[in-house]
Amino acid sequence: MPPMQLHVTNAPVAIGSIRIIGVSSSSSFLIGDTESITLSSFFDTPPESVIVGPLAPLPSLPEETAEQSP
Amino acid sequence: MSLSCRESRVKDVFINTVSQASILHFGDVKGRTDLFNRVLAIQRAVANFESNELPFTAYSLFYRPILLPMPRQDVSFSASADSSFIEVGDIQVTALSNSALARFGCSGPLTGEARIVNIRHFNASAPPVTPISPTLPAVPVAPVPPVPPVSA
Repeated sequence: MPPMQLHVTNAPVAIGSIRIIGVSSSSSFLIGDTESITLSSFFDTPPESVIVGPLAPLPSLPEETAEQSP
Repeated sequence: MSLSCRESRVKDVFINTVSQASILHFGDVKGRTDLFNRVLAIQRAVANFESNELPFTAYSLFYRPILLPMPRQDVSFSASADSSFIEVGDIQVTALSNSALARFGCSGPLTGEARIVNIRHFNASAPPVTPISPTLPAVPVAPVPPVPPVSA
């Protein structure tokens, strides 16, 4: 199948003012042109992430796990 | 892929903070831009942290593959600009953080990847932390002068 042809003619753009509070976590604020943008974000705050108690079930290092296991 | 760049014209830029491996870029770039950051944010009521207790390798989220939608067929993309401009008046950005990017200009492919794990640990019943070295008394510092407001 021949590739689909997509041609874009960019026209002038005039913007009055921009006010942004924050740009965070591999986000992008671009004034200009670019070939492609691929942004992805993984954010994990499940209910299990709230731990109440003196001990945190934090994992040990891989080498420590190997030493502990017979 | 062929891309012709427009010229970016900005009157006034005010950016308060650029932090945590963020980029503020004026101008064009030919090559690609790859942003990447990993965050393991642990909030503890009692800060009894020990060294080397939080490896990234213990959390699968940092290694989960990215699922990207793929085009159903090949697309031959081209863009022309006819010597036009992108004109912006005033820009005010409070903060860039965690591998963020603010660019005024043309660029090649841009990719970004952020992986953040939050853990909130209420260990108030844990024994208090014994300081290793005696803490120094606090010394007052000169107040920071206020930042003048941005003129419109």
